Amino acid sequence: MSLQTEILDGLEVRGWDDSIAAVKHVVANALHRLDRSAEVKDTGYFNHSFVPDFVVTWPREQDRTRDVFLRLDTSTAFLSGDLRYLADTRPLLLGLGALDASDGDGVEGSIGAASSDTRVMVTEPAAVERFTESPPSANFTQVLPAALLKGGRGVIREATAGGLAAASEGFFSGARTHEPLIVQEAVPILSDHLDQRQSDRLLNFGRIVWEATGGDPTAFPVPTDLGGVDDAGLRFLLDEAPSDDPGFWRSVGRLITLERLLSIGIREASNLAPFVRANADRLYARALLVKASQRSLDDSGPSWAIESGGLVLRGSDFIAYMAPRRDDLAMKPDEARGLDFEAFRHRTSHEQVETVTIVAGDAKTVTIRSETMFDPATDVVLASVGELPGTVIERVGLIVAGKHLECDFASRVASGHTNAVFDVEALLERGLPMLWPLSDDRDRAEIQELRRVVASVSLPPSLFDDLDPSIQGQ
Amino acid sequence: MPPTGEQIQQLGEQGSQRAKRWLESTCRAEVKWNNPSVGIEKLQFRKAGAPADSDAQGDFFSFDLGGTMLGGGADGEVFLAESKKYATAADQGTEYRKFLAKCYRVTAEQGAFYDNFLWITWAPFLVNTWDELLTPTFVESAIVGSDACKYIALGDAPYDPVVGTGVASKVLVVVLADGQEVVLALHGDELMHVRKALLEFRTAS
Repeated sequence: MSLQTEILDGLEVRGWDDSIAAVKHVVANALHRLDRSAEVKDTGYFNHSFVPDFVVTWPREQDRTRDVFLRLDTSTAFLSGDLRYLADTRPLLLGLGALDASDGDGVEGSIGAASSDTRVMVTEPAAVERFTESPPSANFTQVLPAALLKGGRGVIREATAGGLAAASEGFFSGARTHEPLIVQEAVPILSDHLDQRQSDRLLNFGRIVWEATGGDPTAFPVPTDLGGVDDAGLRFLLDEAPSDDPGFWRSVGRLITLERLLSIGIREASNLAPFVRANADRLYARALLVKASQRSLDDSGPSWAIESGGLVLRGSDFIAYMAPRRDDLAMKPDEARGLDFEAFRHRTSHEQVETVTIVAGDAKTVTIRSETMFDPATDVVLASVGELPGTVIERVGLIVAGKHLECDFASRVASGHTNAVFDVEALLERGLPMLWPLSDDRDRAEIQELRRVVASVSLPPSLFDDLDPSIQGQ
Repeated sequence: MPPTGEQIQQLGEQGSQRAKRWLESTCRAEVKWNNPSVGIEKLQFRKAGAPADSDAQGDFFSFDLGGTMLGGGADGEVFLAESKKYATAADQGTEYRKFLAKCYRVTAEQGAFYDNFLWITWAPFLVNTWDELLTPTFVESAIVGSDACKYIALGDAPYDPVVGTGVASKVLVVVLADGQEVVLALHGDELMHVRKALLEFRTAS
C-alpha cells in the first residue's frame, strides 16, 4: 500500500483523535525511514499554522532540529501563506495529499518569491515514498533521503524525487568507479535541493568514497572542504556511511590499520561492525585480553566498539579487547585462577597444542613442550601431571598462523612472542574460545560471521582483475 | 458586476485560510481540519431531508474549519466554523440562516460531540437584528422560515426547540478586520515564542 493511500485511509478513520493518530503514525514511520538515525517526536498538534506536527532531532547532532508541518490544504495559496509565516524556521511542509499542480509555477514560484535562499522544503507523500523505497545499497541510496530530511529545500514533487534519487545513485556510483563526468553531472541536481551544509556533507561523502575505493584524490571533479581521507573523513565514513556492503568496507580497509582505527576518535560508530567483519584478516594486534562482564540489560547480541585503547567485541558475558601492543590496553586484567584439568581438556577439545604450563599443588610450575603438536585429550605425559590433585593449568601455547600464541588462563590474555602479531579473525577464532567459554550462540555466530565475510571479500586476485570489464567479456 | 462563482470560491478559500491562521494565533484554538475534501466525515454532513442512499452533492453540507479549543474553561471543546471573507454584508443574512440550519442538524445528530459553532466574517450583517442573532427565537425563525433550511435541518421532522436552544447557546459570531490580522496579531519571533509555549503546554497536559 502506498504512503498516500495509507494517509488517506487514516484520514477516513471516523473519530477525530483516532484519525489524527493513524495519519501521524504512518507519517512518523515514513520520516523515520528517510533517516533511521533521526528521532521523530510528535508534538501533539495536527495541521497547526505555526506549531509543527513533528520535531525531528538527531541525537548525534545536538544543534540540529527540523520542524515538520503536515498540511491538509495543499493548495498553492495556502502553502504560500505558510512560507510567509514559517520560512525563517526552515521547516519541512508535507502535504497529506498531492501538491496542487494546477497553476503554472505554483508553489515553486511562491517559494522562489518568498526567499531566494529559502531552506523550506515542500513535498508530497508520493515523493517521500520515492526516497524510502530503495533498500540500503553500496551506492549509498540512504544518504540523500537523510540529507533531505535534515536540510532539503525547494518543492519536491514525485517527479523531482525520481530525478534526485537517480542523481544520487549516479553520484555515488561514479565516485566508486572513479568516473568524474558522472559525478559532475549529478552535483547541481543534488545541490539545488539541499542547503549548503547538507550539500557539502554529501559532496564530502562522495570524495571520501572516491578516495577510499582507490580513486586518485586529485581527480575528484568537485571542490570539497575535506583535505582528503584524513581522520575526520574516516570518522565521517564509519559514523555515517549507510552501506553495509562488505566489498566497500574491504576497499576502505586498505587505508586503515588497527593503530589508525584506534586513533581516529570513534567509539561506537554505526559502521564499525561491517568494517571489522570485512577486514578482520588484516587488522593486526599483538594482544587479546578478555574480561568477564555482566549480561547487558537490552541483550541485543554482540557489538563492536573502540574503548580503553583497544578494539572491543562485547559478548553476552565477556568483553574482548585487542590492541597493537599489550601496553596500549588501559585496563587491568581479571585475576582468575587457572583451569582445572577437566575444564582445560574441554576447552581444548578441538585444538592441538604446542605447550601446556601447569602449576602443581605445591606451587611448582611444569611446562610440557613438544617438538610437534599434541592433543591434550590423549597425551599421556600431560595426563600424568594434570590429573594430580591440586594442579591447575596456567597457560597453553597454540600455533596460530605459524606463530606461537600463548593463552594465559589466569590473566585471560593471549599474546605471542615479542613482536608477533595476529589478525583479529585468528585471535577471536582461536584465542577467545581458549580464554573464555562461549556460552551464547550469538557470540559464536559473530565469530563465524567474521570468517564468512572475510572469505567473501578476500578472494585471491585473478590475472584479469585489472582489465576493463568490457574487455573481459570478449 | 457580481462576483463570478470562481471568484466567490477563491474568496471562500482565502477566508478559511485566514480564519484558520487567526484562530490559531489567538492560542485558544487548534484548527485541525481545514479541507472538507479529505477526511470527509470530519467536516461534511448529510442534510436531514436527503434520502439515506443519496450521494448527490446537494444532499450534503460542510463547514470550512473544525478543531478544538485550547486552554481555559473551554479546553478540549470541539468547534466547527464557517468563514466569510466579504467586504460587505452581501448575502450573509441568507447564508447565516443556512449556517444555523447546519448547526441544528449537527446538534440534533451529534450534539454531544460539537460544543461550538463559529461564524467568522469580515463584514457585519443583519445589523438591524444584530442583538437577536444568537437567540433561540432567531434560530427557530431561520430554520422554519425557508425550505432550504428546513431541508438541511429538519427533513420531515418537526422543529425541536430544545435543539434550537442548544444551537443558540453554541453559536459565536466573530467579526474580523484586515487590519486586525496585521496590527493585532503576532508575527515572526513572537510566533516562535508562542510556539514554544504551546509545545510546553501540550507536553505538560
